[in-house]
Amino acid sequence: MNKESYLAVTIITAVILVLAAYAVSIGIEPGWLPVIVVVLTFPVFILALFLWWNASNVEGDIPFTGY
Amino acid sequence: MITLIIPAVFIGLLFHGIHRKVIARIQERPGPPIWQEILHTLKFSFKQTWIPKTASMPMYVFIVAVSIAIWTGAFYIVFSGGSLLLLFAVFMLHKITEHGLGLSSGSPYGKFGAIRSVMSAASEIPLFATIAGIYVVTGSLMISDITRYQEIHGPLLTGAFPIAIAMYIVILSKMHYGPFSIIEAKEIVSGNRTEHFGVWRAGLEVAYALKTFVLLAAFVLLFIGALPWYLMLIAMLIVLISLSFICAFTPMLSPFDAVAMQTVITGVLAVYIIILGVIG
Repeated sequence: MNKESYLAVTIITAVILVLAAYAVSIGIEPGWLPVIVVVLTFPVFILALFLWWNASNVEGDIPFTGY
Repeated sequence: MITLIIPAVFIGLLFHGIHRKVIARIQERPGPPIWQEILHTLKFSFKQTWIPKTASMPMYVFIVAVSIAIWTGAFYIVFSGGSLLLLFAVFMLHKITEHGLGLSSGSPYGKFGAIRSVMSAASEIPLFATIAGIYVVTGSLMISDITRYQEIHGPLLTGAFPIAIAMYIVILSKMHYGPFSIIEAKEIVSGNRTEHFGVWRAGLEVAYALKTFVLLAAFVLLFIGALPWYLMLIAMLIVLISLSFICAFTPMLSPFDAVAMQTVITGVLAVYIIILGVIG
């Protein structure tokens, strides 16, 4: 994956996290649904964020993710 | 509550820094600044990152995500007053992720760490004693019920001290540089984390920061009760510093001694719980 792809994943997961926070604030039912969404999305957000700012601007599979 | 996860990560990392600082000062070293672990995590996230040729790629990457996910879930369980059994399930999953971390890399050091992780599953046994003891005393396994019980009857720290000791030992077994930290002993480099570097290590640091925050918060909620947030943080800090003292003064045990000691402690607590259940 390239830098733009990681950025896209970071933005998408950030939007999902914000929506989950909003869902909790308005008391959406069932209450466990936004929690499950956060548990599944937060790790992806963290890793995609780190991989995004770690990735180089040049072409290629950087960070290198496999032989 | 969702918005509290990021601050919890930073506070957890700060706690790790304080832990290192306290150990260093006791050992008459200057030690790193307390924000070192925050910088450490950021540093790793900028380091060159790839997947070793010997690694099992899906497991190597996803075990990091799973580690973050389970402690995010644990954060909700604790702060929504959920069931202690769910928290216990998270502890079990954490054991599996520790094992998976070591095995996924293909490194012999990682595999040694993974094997030690399985051996030290005895470190979870005192948690059985905690759960059973708390149920005998309070009649509930819901954290919300347990905090309400303490509002009426006073803290369990004084009312059921041996049970608090059991939970304390569980937390001690999860601390870095502690007597039970056999899975990351220096003779096996960094144990099960040896081959997780760069972004993957940064992700693990996030997971472990959440773990420390959740464990300390769970101890305070279960044995002192619900407090205002600033008192909660102070109580967590006091528990952490007491753990740091033990880590600074106690050498790392050999794997067999670590398992033996935890099993003996659990046996003593089992006797206490039986007596409590029969007499109390």
